[in-house]
Amino acid sequence: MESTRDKIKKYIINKIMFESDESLLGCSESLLEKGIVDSLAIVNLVSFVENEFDVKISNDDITIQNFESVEAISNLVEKSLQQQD
Amino acid sequence: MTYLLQHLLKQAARKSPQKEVIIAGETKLTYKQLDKLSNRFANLLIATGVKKGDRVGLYMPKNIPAVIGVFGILKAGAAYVPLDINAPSARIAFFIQNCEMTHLMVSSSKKEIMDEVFKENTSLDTVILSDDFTDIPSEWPAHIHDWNKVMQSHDKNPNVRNIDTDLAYILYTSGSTGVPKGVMTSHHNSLAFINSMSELFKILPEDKVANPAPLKFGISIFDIFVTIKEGATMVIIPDLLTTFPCQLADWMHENEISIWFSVPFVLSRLVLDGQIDRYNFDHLRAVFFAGEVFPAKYLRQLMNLWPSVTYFNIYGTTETNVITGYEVEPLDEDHIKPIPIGKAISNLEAFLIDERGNLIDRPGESGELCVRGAAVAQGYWANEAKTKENFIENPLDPHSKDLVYKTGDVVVLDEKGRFHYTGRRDHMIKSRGYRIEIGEIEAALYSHKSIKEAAVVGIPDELAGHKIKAFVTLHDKRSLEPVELQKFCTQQIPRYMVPESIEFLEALPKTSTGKIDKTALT
Repeated sequence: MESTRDKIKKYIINKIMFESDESLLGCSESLLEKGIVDSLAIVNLVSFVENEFDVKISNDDITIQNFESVEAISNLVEKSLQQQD
Repeated sequence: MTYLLQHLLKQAARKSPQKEVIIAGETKLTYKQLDKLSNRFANLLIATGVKKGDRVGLYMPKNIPAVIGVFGILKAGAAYVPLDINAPSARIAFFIQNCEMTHLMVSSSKKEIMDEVFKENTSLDTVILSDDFTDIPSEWPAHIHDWNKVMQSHDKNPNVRNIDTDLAYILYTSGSTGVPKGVMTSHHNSLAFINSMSELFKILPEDKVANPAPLKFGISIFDIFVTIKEGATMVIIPDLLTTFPCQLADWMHENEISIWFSVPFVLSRLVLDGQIDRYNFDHLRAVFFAGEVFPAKYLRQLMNLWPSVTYFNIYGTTETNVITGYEVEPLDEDHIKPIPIGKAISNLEAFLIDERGNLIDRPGESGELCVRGAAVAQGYWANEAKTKENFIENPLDPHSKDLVYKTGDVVVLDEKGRFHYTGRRDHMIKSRGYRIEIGEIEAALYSHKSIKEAAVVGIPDELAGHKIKAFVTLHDKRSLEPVELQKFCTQQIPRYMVPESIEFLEALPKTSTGKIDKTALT
């Protein structure tokens, strides 16, 4: 089964970077410094994460730190899922 | 006498040398420092070959070195050309070639794209590095100078003798035939705009002005030059912060921002996700927005959250800068119609014409908005055809010698003499304040060898203004993934122009005259 991390990575590569090669993005690579995630991408990314993992991301969790990398987003999803339980 | 943009800085630096002109995080610059640093920058440019009338590029985010660059370039007698920080290398190479740029300031974040740019033939002779590069890119076929070289240059004003009809800057915008257009603005044009804005908004020396627009947007002229004219302080918004509304709200509060200017998209996101009820924002006194229609429901929420702030809807184009302004009146709960764009700012005439060029002055009738006045730009760089098309002789007065700019915007006049924006005559859309020619996206798609036909439409979106969708047919039966085509587009146009979704069809719907029928696609 695809992990949370893989699903997020795949979404970013396909839908934001418009690429198909998954080796193009490392899980700890900075999404922000490279300009991969910008102000429109973030809106789509948050709604993707919310729908895909059936989780609510609270506004104060939409921060530079939590969206810094695939790893960070994946940790945020796990954390939000736990808080929901 | 104030007839060049750099005179604004000179006067403010003389009046209040120790006043802070720019704040960027922990770094603060006084008016005197900016004046001296931009002299150094100008002297380095002159020493490395820049002459009056040259074009010098800035390929970097809006930050302290960029503002030093802006004034340094002007003081060297040249025009500054900000390059789109989101553009792919082919487009950057185009801008450089198109205006025959020989000098460019680059930030380290753009190193990889510049590597690509230098693989093509470029007219560049000299590159100035705005910040610390881990390695000096000595393989670039140009003279490379780091910031130390700026600091080692003389700090006396070179006093190049310009006149106010000389160009001050060239701002590139999307072009319908697939080629961007460089809007040429003179010192005279720009100062006309700055003086009108300064009269309208009454910025005070104690104001702290924040505006996230990159240098390539006309509204960046406001925060740089109007702020400096009034001896106020511009505060640089850290990169990425506009993407994260909660942190942006924290930042606005901590930095005691008093004047905010942005596209509505950023403000809508502040309302939706910024939790702005956490602070009082006591310092904030005015919010200006421009670039697209502000959805009334988010604007109303914003006005309820910040009731003591004055709101201005600003409307304009790169070719004229601001044309009209409207101080927003309280909105009723059931107000859903877009608010007016208002009346022409001072020293500018705005009027509507019909397709035959006749004046429309009755309320309720719509026409194309035309503008005349000192702020109207000189035309498009090296593009006589487009210049003639959009900058026309005054249709209302054959004896008048000044040109009129046709905006392409369809506008209605109301009973109170205010204009209301209703749409475009052509195929331009706005997305998050970016001006996008549909034709340019279609041209990018058509340049793919498998594409037989392509039609791009803007799907109205409450938050972003428009989302871009493409419909294509293929020459062969070969299957093509949307992502492959999107990737192809990113090599030619900025990502904000790449269609978010692409649909493959057997055939595109046609009108009775055989043209692609876009209304059938939306």
